[in-house]
Amino acid sequence: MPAPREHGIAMWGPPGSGKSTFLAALGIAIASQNGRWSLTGQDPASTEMLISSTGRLAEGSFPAATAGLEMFSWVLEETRPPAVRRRWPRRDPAPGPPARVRLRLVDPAGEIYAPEGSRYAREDLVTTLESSRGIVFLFDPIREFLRGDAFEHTFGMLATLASRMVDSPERIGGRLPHHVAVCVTKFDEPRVLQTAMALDLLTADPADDLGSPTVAEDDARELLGRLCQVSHSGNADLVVNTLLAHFLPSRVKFFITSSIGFYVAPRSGGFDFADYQNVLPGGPGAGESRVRTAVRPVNVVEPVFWLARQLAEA
Amino acid sequence: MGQPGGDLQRELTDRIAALGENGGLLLAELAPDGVRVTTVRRDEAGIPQALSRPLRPWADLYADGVLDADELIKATGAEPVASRVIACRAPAGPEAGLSLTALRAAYPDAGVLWSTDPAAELAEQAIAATPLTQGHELVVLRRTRSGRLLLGGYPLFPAGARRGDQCPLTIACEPADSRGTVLALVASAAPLGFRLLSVRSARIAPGTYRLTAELRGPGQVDFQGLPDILEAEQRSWPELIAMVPEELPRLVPAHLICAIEASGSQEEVRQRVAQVRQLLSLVADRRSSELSVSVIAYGPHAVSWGETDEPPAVLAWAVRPAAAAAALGGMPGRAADRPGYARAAQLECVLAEVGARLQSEPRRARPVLVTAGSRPAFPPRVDPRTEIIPCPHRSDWQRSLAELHEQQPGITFGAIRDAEPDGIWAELGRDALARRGAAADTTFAVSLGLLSATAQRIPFPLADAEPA
Repeated sequence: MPAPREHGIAMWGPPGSGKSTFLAALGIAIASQNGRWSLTGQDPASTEMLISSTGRLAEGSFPAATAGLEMFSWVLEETRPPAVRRRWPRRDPAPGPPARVRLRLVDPAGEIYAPEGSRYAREDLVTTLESSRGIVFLFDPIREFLRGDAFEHTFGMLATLASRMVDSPERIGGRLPHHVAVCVTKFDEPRVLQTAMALDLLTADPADDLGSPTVAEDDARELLGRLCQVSHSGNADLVVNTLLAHFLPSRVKFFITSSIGFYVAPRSGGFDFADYQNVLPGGPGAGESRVRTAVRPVNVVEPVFWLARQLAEA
Repeated sequence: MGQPGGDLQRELTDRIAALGENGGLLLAELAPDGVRVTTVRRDEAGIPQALSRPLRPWADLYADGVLDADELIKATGAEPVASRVIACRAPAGPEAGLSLTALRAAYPDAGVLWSTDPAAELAEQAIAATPLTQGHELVVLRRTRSGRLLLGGYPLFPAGARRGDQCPLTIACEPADSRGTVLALVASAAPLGFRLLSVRSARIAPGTYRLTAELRGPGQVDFQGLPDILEAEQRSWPELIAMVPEELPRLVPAHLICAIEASGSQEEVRQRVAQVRQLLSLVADRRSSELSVSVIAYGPHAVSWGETDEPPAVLAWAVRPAAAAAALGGMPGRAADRPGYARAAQLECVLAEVGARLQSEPRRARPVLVTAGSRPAFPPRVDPRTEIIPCPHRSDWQRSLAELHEQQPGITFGAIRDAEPDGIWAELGRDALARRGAAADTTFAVSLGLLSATAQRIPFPLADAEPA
């Protein structure tokens, strides 16, 4: 049986991996897409969450951390201008139907991904993942470097999801049917960018007139592999292996992302490798962490759009 | 001689000036109530000294109204002298008139002068107007290149100088004991060394003083430009000489540059300012004025949207310590105005500013940079280790430090910091290190070459140095 069109995209990542910030950046990035896509809350709480988090980030503040288990749902919709009646038939193939997917975020404040976490919260998340066919998986390399808990959060959840869907006819070759966009976050952090630079994986983003660097999708996994080598726990590479073991490798794609993007000095004219940090860290006497300058998300819409199109074509 | 007035005074002066080493002038004063003899002779320093004997009343010299001429001659001519003057003091009585006649008969070469003033006063006035027969010098210390102290004289007035002559001089006073710095006047006679004329002292703060010496008469010199009144010194000359140390290590002129971080809490800033002020006071009190001071306030770079980035504020540059202390008064208020980036401060821009200023002006003193603060510098570019954002001007503190070392030989660095120094603070505290809140420390100043290693009291002023 084909996947129902309502099957949406779930955002998944350990607590503190930046899901709220990613969503806010997504709102900003979509707003800059010249109206080709729209993101709309499906209930007042989701609408409010989108407005507040996007507004805060646009002003330089990071979205407030969620408290308790919260579930949000939005509709990501591709918009197209009305069809023009033509006298002669088009030569190019007619485009497919506009993509329309539900984007859901189960934002746990606690450690529900861990085996010892709230069973009910994990049930809700598993249910969300089970009913989705696209997953935005956020991997924070800095958190992994400092804490190394990604595998701990991932393995149990995947094992539960696989168990729940063990008899699903949608499984392909024994693997789960989801498309997974693995988003390596915090590309703007010096340790991440410099690792990419050391591996000679940086290219100029053709879509960016300020010359910001990017990592091609084909190279993203190599960078992730190198970043996993400095994991605090030493088992970050198991996260990737576990994902590839549960999902079809052809349905897993890697993206190097930054929700806030790089700092570009006013009147400088472009990206500067000598000065690109965009986070002003908080601390005693410094208040909360802030964004240094305008938010310019890097590779935030791409994974979501990719998933949306995959689901639309399914 | 024989007429009252200025000519007589001048002649008396000339007669005293003409006195040789062993000669003397006898002044027989015929006063209304008797006869007084005043003798003027030069002492070993060549200074004419007047000595008056007790008055002989007329009653001793007259018997029944008749002058005993022999007794008068004996009373006024007991010693051999080179010159005699008879001073008739008005109003003269009949005894004086008879006595004058007798004395003129006995000493026909004696001069006669008429005056209403006592003869002793006339002698003092005449002495003060005589020219010097020996040069007058101020006792000073001279420091050789090796730091040895040599006692010597600073020539003020040569032989022949007269009352009213002036001589400008510059002296440097080092810290002295509680009784002050000694200004001793000597008469110089090449084959004989020197003779002490006067020893006075005054409480003079360390520093360089431009004075004017004015000759008031033989053996009498006034000094204008001193901050305190000279008083007679009670200590003996051998005692004073014994107080002079063998050597005084040379402190080259220093330019103390104080960079103070204005970020942090008001209390932190207040403590930094107080500590720098203490250091300034300590150094200024204990070394001569070969010290210029600069004050720079610095804080974080601006990062908030719309906030203007301000460079370090040079509150004073190469000024005297007192002016620098006044500039420190404007420091604490700056902190609250500049929240800025929380993890670093503009040390790199301070170093660049100091380097540029020192390089652009002729070197007059050895720079000493004392930095009081806590935050690290902004790096010139992204620093993955600290993740502190770069300096917006790309100032490179390591390069600036290297240039300071290269371009300013002898530069020393002292740091007043909250915690153990690392990174740039290890460099800024390489010669001296103090913790914030600690009292001003002589060791700190000595380590920077601002003070001598040994606390020494120098009783005499210093004059220009001589080669070793």
